[in-house]
Amino acid sequence: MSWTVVDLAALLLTGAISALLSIIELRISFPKSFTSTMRTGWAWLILSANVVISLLMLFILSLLFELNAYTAVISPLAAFILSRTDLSILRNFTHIGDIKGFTIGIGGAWFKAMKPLYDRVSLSLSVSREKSLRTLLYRYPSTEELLGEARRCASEVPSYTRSHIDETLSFLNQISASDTLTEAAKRVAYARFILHTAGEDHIRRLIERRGAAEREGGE
Amino acid sequence: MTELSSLERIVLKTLSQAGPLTPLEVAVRSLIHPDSILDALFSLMDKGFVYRRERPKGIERYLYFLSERGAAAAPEGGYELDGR
Repeated sequence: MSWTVVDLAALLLTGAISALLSIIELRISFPKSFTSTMRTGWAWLILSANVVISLLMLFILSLLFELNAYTAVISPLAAFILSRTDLSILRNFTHIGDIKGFTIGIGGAWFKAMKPLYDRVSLSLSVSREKSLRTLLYRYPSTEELLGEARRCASEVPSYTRSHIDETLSFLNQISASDTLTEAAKRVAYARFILHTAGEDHIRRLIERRGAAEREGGE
Repeated sequence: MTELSSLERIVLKTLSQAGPLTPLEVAVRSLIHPDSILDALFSLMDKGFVYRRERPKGIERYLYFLSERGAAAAPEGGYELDGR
């Protein structure tokens, strides 16, 4: 079989549409950290899997029809729709919604295959979020100082009402007074509290300020 | 239908709003003591609403995910738990 320009263009078009749909799906799945998501290898594995099933669909359609622009556009769309739906050949109409008989669980199987990959992306993002947290814990070896920063954060959030500030301070006091939590767990809790309440930029400022103070102290 | 405590509902809602989290992340978002959060997470795991995956390099060992069942049972509502 010799490849023509049209065949190659059809392959490229299928791949491009499939990649675009996959990127949109990743964007929907990880809306707050899309850029970081695309930096993980798992996201590219998901994208590749989607491109592969689209090319497989293109191959099937090209056996039935001609390989042209129409099949190239339809293939990724068909692959995406079919792999996200449970197709049943026979249904039990006496029990609405209860699928019996011959069921091709393409959608279910695809979801089961993809879910661990999406979980891996979440795990990677979760670990990458902690880089600044680790530095903060390193820069603040004293638990009391870290608690002080957490308390300051709680008091300085502009959108917090008085009752909310009291609630957050009471939470921090509970952590501080806890007999069951280890010192390390308390420190991580304070750091996570600062990250959640004040954001990553604030943590970076704290780290820079502490670093500058240490440098001045060393001179 | 499985009965859920108010604490379990809060945990489900936090996970449905923020995505997979560690126990301490759930605690600081819901302002509830980490020990209570852990109890709720274990109970939700037993009921099949939540599952966890090990983090090879993270500060905390596990990340908790909502299962399909948990996502369906998570209380709806647009407000953020921490009021932000």
